[in-house]
Amino acid sequence: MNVQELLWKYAEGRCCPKERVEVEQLTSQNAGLQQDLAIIRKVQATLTTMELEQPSMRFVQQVMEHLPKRHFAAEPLIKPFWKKTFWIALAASMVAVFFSTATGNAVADPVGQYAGAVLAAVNVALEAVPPMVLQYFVLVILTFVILAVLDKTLSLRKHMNFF
Amino acid sequence: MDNDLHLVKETLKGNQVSFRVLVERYRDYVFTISFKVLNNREESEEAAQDAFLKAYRGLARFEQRSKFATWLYQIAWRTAIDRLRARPPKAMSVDEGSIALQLPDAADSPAQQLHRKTIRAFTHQALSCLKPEDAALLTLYYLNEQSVKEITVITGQTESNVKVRLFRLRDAMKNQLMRMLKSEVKEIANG
Repeated sequence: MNVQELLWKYAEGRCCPKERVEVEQLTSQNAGLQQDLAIIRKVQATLTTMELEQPSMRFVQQVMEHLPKRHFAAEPLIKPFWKKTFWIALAASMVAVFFSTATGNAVADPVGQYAGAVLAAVNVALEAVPPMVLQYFVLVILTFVILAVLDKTLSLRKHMNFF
Repeated sequence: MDNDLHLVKETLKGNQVSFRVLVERYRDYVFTISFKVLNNREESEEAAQDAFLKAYRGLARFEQRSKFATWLYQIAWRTAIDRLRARPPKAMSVDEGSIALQLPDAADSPAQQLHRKTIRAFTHQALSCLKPEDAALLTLYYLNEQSVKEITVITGQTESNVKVRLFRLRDAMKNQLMRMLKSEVKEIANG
């Protein structure tokens, strides 16, 4: 390390005790080095007190406005368990409705006498349900289907995103 | 900063408010790095914005091998350097065998000369006359007290290269100041 490097190190306070003594001896014997050290200290002091530049007031807003859109849901809108349950229940309901209609029209019972009795009971139960409740039931099914489609779309978007 | 990591995780979950906090925290540093490299406010602002957008897009790739700030400054540095390289060069670098300082002649008005006759003003003037990459290197070293190791991560230069450049730049500044302040040097040395 040359003397100038040593002077910078000294001004920064990074010298070991041995180097410190060496610098102090050199500067006490040499007026030129003493001047060098004085200037180095001034430059050092100025550089360490440098101020940050500031961007315009709208900087943060502009950055936020340009951020790419992200997926909004980190978790699926409908949990897999409920999805499975819904589709099974829907399939069962459709089968029940189909066969109850068939038995109502006096078509030959395709699943035997026992099944025919069950389906007849379902048919009676459905007839007993007020129309308003059935409308709500259809509405719930529709909502569920919309949510499922939305969930799928968001999931596809997520995979197309940067992450 | 641990808090930075928490904000990064929240941003990755889709919380843009957390990213806003990071932008507010580091905007001045990122802008200063860009400004030191580009020396033009408008262009620096665009470069700084660009750096934040790149950071946002690449947040999932932040592997926490360095501090978030170091990673962000690295992006800011590269973005600014890329913009700078798209421009024709102006000043010379210390690497080109000559000192990059080109201080203006003392042909200003007496009032301006009086103002410039302070070490601080001269140092700032000297810094602004450096090649932009060199000025940014000094800024990184002093502004946020980045260690030489962190500067190697940010700039992609080797540790020895950074050390040598820093020494040569500072020494060039010192020599230039000594030439300019011939009469005052003795007074400064005497305190």
